[in-house]
Amino acid sequence: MGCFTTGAWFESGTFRFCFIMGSNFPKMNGARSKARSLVFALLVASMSIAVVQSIFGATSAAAKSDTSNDSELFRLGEKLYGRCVACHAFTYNRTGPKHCGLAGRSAGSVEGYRYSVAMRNSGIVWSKESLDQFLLSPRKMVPNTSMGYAGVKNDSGRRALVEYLMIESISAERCGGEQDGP
Amino acid sequence: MTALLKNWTQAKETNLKARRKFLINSGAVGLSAAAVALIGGNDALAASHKASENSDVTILNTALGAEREAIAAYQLGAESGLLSSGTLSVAVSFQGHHKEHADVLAQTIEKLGGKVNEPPETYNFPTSRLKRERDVLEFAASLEKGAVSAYLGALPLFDNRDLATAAASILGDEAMHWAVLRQALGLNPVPSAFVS
Repeated sequence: MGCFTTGAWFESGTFRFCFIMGSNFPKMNGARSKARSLVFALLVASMSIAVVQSIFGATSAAAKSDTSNDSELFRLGEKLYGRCVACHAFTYNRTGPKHCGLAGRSAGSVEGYRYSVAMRNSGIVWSKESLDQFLLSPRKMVPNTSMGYAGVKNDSGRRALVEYLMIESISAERCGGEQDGP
Repeated sequence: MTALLKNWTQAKETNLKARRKFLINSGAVGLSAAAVALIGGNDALAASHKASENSDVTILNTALGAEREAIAAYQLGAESGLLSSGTLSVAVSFQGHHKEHADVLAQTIEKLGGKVNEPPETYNFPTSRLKRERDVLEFAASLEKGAVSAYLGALPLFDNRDLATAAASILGDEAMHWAVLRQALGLNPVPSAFVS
């Protein structure tokens, strides 16, 4: 019943479509009616398949685009991190504190690093949001921080740098067992 | 690389001769007002910036920390036994520049009434990754590139414009180091029209 009497089933991948025609069309009897129904069902099915393919194609393209965007964002962040290496490294303290373990860390808490009083007392916990705000203008967020850097004013560049730092600072490959220690 | 290093050495000698001649003839009058203020200790200039000295002193101390680290890094490279004589000569020359920067920064901090930060007892360097001359050059290039970015990022923060000018002068020197090191590594010495 159902599709078998008034329309037709069509399958595309894991999807199955039923095209109901009986009640929407002038009543026709015999082989001519069935032939017209079949032609119409095929027409609608082909259109539907095209739509489905279009939707799935678009989704797939969007997924690829997201991956591509993430990759581009990471590469941009990695490039911008080149600005930081005058004073910072991931795995050891330099003029600035090490970056391994940065994500989720309280500001001013790396052992063995001599922080400014301002940074020690800032109460900041490093997250995407706080890091973004800090990197926009370090001395505005933490006056008298010893980080003598005006900031990354370009929004997209700063976002990329923050993403990069958040990922790499907890990366096992990059930091190994360094996250929790000095 | 050998021919290039020969050129460096010759250029360095020519540069030193020209510099000596310039200093003898001019009595250092040709130095910028900012550099005179920094090196000679222009108390009036320093005194005129009392209100902002804390901020500037903090920035200068951070720059001093980076310069001291660069001196230590070049020392590490020089003592590594990985550098050929020509490269060693250039490394020692660059280290000398960083020493000059550090001296000027320390003097300026004191002139502004600030306290010079104590250097750390030890420096951490990725020594396990330095296995050949190229590794040392790449490491030095990364530090010099970083120094350019650091000075560029610090420039807008100086309340004292003369300090900004002097910092820009140091930035130029760091950028030249970076370019020379890139050239030695077989890379485009000046990869773009702007630094960041």
